[in-house]
Amino acid sequence: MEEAQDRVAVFRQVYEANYGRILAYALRRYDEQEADDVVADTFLVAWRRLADVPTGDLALPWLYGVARKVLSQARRSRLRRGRLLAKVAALRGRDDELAESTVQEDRDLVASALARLSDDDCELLRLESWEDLTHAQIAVAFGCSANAVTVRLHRAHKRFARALASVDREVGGPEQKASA
Amino acid sequence: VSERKDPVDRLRAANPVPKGSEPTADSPVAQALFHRIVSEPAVAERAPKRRFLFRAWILVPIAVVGLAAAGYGIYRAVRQPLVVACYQGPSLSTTREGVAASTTDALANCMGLWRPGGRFNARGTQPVPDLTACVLDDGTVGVFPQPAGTDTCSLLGLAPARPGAGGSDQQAVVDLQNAVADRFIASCVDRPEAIAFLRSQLQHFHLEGWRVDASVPFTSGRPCASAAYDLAARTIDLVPIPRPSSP
Repeated sequence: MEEAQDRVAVFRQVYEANYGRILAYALRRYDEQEADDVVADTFLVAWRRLADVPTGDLALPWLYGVARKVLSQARRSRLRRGRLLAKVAALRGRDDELAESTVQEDRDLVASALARLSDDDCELLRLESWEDLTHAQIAVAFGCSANAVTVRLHRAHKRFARALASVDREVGGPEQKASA
Repeated sequence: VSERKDPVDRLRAANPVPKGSEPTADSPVAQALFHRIVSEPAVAERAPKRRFLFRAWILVPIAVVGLAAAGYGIYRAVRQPLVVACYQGPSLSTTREGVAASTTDALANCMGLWRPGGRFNARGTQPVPDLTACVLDDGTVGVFPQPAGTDTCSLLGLAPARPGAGGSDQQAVVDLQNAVADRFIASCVDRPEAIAFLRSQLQHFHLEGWRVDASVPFTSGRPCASAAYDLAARTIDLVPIPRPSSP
């Protein structure tokens, strides 16, 4: 009985310290309903594999790694990509609306550029830029070495820059406007 | 605009949930989820000496689900459902969750998903809807919400799953699985002992017409028995697995 209580206490610590970050992670990628599912699945895995959850600062990237696997189900990925591509198509006919919100415009352009990358490239870039993880932390989430993360991120940045430039050209984004 | 020309800056600025605005774990939703999770069994939390149990827990359900799925394709009558598909809405295209049938009552198997904090009611804001069970095209049971005054099965062109169909047989198979799991997980059971045990259990649960298939050879590397259930052929396949690792 005492062991069970200890277990709940340990899990509560992990849960309360990381719930917000994991939910934010999911909300950055999916709608609210899907994000709730991702959070539930991620912490259920943590509960069942509590002995495997690293202590301290490494718990969060470990949870990101689980969440990433939960998210990487092909069906969800395809659905999301479809939505993003649809956004690009919609953008082309909405010049007036675009002018109303430069911030939203650029978010859509960035989302469109991300949608042109591989899932791994996307995730590496977002973990670094949105989740503010170090290369060592991303390595925990990805299950590879920090050196490998550095190399892969370098390539992902290049591909992202190319994709973003391409999207800008297609919809007349900030880069085009700035150079005009 | 020019200050955001750098792709990295633009990527950072496009963060849909800016840093510092993350949700907290003290919301009712978060607390409901916490309590739901800690009420789940911690299936993978085992002492090192019981690694075998973990492997068996993984192998047996996978084999059961796989063979059950294969079997249902040709065995259209719902006699022994081991897996139930729970749907979030009265439609075949809504979110679906497969759950292992722990009871012969199909509706009860899906009820947990609708409780506050459950997958279909994460925020705990909606009551458990009326549910109904239908027979899906592949022969499995699907459980759907049924709005008042409607007949979801008819609307979807599906036959209703009658709780009584094969009831005693269903329960017997579930009971058999539980008994076999308890025995095979408790220790490494060799081939002759496993065959004898399975035959005695089939007799005990009055499962006539079932047989034990032990055609897969046991080896020194895989000397312990695990079981897979082929519902269509009414056969229990003995599957050899490795001996548990020493602690």
